[in-house]
This record gives sequence, C-alpha cells and structure tokens, in this order.
Amino acid sequence: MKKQNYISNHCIIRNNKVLLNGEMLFSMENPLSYNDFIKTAFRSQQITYPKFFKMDNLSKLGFLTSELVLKSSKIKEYKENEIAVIIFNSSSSLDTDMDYYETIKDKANYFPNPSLFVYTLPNIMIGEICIRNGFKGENMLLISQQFNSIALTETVNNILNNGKAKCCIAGWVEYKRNTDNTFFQNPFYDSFLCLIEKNENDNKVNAEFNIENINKIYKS
Amino acid sequence: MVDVYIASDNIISSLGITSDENFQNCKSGNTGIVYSSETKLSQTPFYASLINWNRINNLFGKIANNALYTKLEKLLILSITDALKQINIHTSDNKTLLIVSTTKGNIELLEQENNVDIDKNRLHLWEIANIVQKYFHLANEPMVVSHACVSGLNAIILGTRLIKSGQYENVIIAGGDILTEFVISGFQSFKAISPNPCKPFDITREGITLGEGCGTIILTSNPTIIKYKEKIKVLGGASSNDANHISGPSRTGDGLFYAIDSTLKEAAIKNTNEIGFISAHGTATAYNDEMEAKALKLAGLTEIPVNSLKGFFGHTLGAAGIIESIISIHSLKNNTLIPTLGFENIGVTENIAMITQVKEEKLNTCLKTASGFGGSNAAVFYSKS
Repeated sequence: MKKQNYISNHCIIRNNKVLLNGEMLFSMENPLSYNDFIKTAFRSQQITYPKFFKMDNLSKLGFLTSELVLKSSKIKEYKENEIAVIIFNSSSSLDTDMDYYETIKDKANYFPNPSLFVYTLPNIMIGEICIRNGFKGENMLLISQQFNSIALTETVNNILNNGKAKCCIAGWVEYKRNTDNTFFQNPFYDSFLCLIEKNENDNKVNAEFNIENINKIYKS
Repeated sequence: MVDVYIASDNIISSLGITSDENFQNCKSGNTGIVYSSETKLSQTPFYASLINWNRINNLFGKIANNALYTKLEKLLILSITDALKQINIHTSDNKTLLIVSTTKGNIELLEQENNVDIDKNRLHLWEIANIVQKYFHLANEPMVVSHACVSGLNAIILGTRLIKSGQYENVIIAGGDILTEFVISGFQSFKAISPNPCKPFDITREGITLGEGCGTIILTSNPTIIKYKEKIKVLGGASSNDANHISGPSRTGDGLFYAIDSTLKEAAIKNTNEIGFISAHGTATAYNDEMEAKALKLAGLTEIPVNSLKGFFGHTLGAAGIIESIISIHSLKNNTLIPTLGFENIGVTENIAMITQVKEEKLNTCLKTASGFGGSNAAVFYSKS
C-alpha cells in the first residue's frame, strides 16, 4: 500500500552554517570551536531554553535542528501522541562515551557522573526533543554507517502509513569527535531533519517525501 | 495483509545457551543473578547476572577463531547460529534482513588493554552489525537500533513493519549487551543498583540488578519454514515517549499507556480478557515500577496476570526486550505462566495481578512492554495464530 507523504520543512546544520528550507539562516566564520558555533547559532534564534546548555554535543545539534524545523510549522495542530521522532546517526553517543570513560579510567581519580552517563545513550537526543515539545508519539534511534535515505524513508513511511503517527520529525544527526592526533581537532558534525506530514501543505517546500527528494535536500 | 510469525529464537544468558534451557531454568525458579567481587567490573562487590565465558569461548572456538571477535560479536554469532539451525532459509538471498539491537556494543574497546588485536573501529555499532552480516553472508545492509532499554522491542517493531510492508520476507533480530565497568559504574552513579538481587514491583525493592546476554528472534512472513506447532504471530507493536525527564519515568504512566494502546489497537484486541498475560519491564526501581503500574491501570489491565523477568536475567539492556519476549513466547508455547522472581508483596499503588507461581493454563496471547532512559517506552503483542 503506497501512500504519499510530504516534507513541509527541513533544516541542515553543518560546516558552521544553518540552513532552513534551503535558505541560510545563520553562519559563522571561524568559530573558536563547535561549542562556540552551536551556542552562538542557538542564541541567534531567540530560543529561551536554559536546558540546552546542559546537553551534550550530539543533543545540542539535534535539539537546535528540531527547533528550527518546527518553527513556523503546524505542529500544534497535532495531538501529543500523533507526533513521531525518528533519528539515524553513525557514531551513536561515542563522543560522550569517551568523556564518560575519562571519569572512570583512573582508579585514583574515579568520579562517574550520572548527568554525563545519561548522555551515553544516543536516544537521549530524541528524549530532549520530546520533553521540549511534549511529543509522546513513536520514537526510534537507528545507527547506520552513512546517511541512508532508503532506510530513512522505509522507516518513516511504515509509521505514517500504518496510522502510528500523523507527522514525523526525521533525519540524520551525526556528531563525531576527531580522534586523529592532528593540531586542529575539529569534530565532524552533520545534522539534517525534516518535518514529514501525511497531507500536502501550503508551505513553499511541500516536496513529496521520497528517496530522490531526501537525497537532493540532504546534499544541498 | 501480511502476517508476521516468530520462526525461531535463541537466548544466551547466565541461564543457558538455548531458549529451552533458559525457559526451563525460569520454570524451575533458578536465577542467573550471582554475587560478584570482580574488580574489573566494579570497585565494590555487586549482584549481576553474568555469562559463563568459558562455556561461550569453548562453543565459539568450534566455529571460529575466538581472538578475532569481541564478546558481544561472539554472543550474536552463536545466538543467530542456533536460531538459524531451527529453520530452513537461505540467508544469502535478498529476502532476509539483519537488525542488531544494542545499547553499548563493544564499549569495552575504549580501554586500551582490552582486545588489543581488535580494531577500535568496532566501537561503531554499525561495524558490529557488518561483522555479523559478513559471518552469515547476508546480502542486505543490516540495520541497528540503539534506543536504551527499549532497543530490543523497537528492533522487533521495526522488523515486523518491514515484513508487513513487503520489503523483506525474513528479519533476523539479534540483541545483546555485555557487562562492563562502563555500564556498571554509570548505574552505580545513579544509585540505581540494588544491594540485593532485584525485587520487581515488591514493597522492599531497592533498584536494578544488571545482566548480560543476547537474544535472537527470526521473524518471517513465510509460515512453511516454521517447525513448531501452534505458530505464534506478532500482531502489533508501538513505541512512545514520556516527554517527562531524560533519566526519570513519567509520574502518570501516560507515555507507556500510549504505546500499549496503539499496540492493542493494531492487534485488534476489543476486550482485555483476550490478553493471556503481560510481561512487564519491571526493573525494580521505585519510579519505574510505579510508572508501569499506573500505565497498566490507564490501559485497564490491572486484572491481567503480569510478570517481570528481571529476577532471572537481571536487566540485560539492549537484549532485554528480545530475551523477555522469547521467554514469553515459550510461555505461550508451553501454556505456562512464569512468576516474578524476587516479588513477595505488592509495592506499587495500583493493585496489579502479579504472577507469583508457575501455573499451567491455556495461553493464547501476551503483551510485552519495556521502558527506558530518554523517556522511551515500547510494547509488542504476540498471539497464537
């Protein structure tokens, strides 16, 4: 049973830039660090949410992308259990895993920290988005080596086409620490989320949700 | 409409290396939880359900080189090997997909001294799946679910949907996690570990007992490959979020209720007396068990017999949903209710119908639930055809 779903908004954060529906929303030349970039980008959007600053690198990335994708959307018209969040990435929570491991590595300086440990699960990023917005629908965190538009479309369509949700925030949120011994240890980050709805909408994006369009937007 | 069947299954845990061995141990009331003072795992002694690694290495040595695989990879390969033995499918054709479920994968590779011959790339969860895929010569790129304690049920839900929509004929779902200092110290830092073996839903419960293990369920839309009688189907499944707190469950149970409600609707359950029993998550933390009891109340299920299997296996994290589903499936096959080991007196505000002893009765259906960090919940419904 093939049914057509639609992309109503999409947001990409990578290379010190934030793109909403293909338009540059924010960019920064030579930020001091990822943290400098993501916090400046967050502040530039007039979002009031102090919890953001407590999140790990991965959650900050997913959270900000979701905030922007939901901006000027009709998300409030849905019931709390009709909204799904499906996110893929490659490196799971390895960045925070490494930070947490530092706290237990040295037996003479052993200080495991629960607020760090909780972020050693990649789905916490989905939890942060759901808590912020009160979303109580379907959740799934999947890992794939690379961005996989086929797996993404299959997973989301199976949820929307079987009445499990009426809309879905879905995509790819990857944060990878640079573990090479180079002087500039910049992390790699790449975030791409879409708002996908069952019905066509009057947004200017209004693209059919299919593999071709997802690839086109992701590569833009 | 495509029906999705349980074709075969396997459990490797502290209680055995086959589903039957594990089920018989549960039926006999044997726990896999032991007291351990293994300092490589914890600075202080602890209770946990631990795998007999000598037994695993002996078994694995008969099929491959122990030095080339991590603990988790060995469990996944042994578990899938046993599940495949029970059926006839060609794993190399493009009709079969592998889904791996794990929370921390090969996290022990972060420690330099562990597995020095193993490439650190295997810290990536997708690489574990690739290794298993290559071992079994599977044609399709595997999928990986890493969703805290609901990983196993989410993998089953994902696999079921991929078969129903016609993308695959068979899905091998294999989930596992091993116990490491990383995981134990984290739960200890939360003060979530029970000083005694866990007592799910009991008034004196003091927290979680962790466990390690692996489970495999092979799902299929082709009933002709199934060799057991009274074929069991997956009738539905759903996930949800509490939207409450990243490390604390909902106070109302509404998140888990949504997952249960969506699952029962998909399974077309009109009357709750069609449900034979419920296998709850039941971690034995104060807040989790209370939340689950409230969700069962919201769903009108307080009269349905319910168990938690954590007293047998501990909390096996990414394997939990799969291992506990398999014990529940074998309860259906054997028409035998398994009690909640460690439970004595009800310690949640809703008077849910705890199963307290092994009981043989005709069973047709079962609801399995799970909940975890990040506010995640999931439910799956199993039924004899």
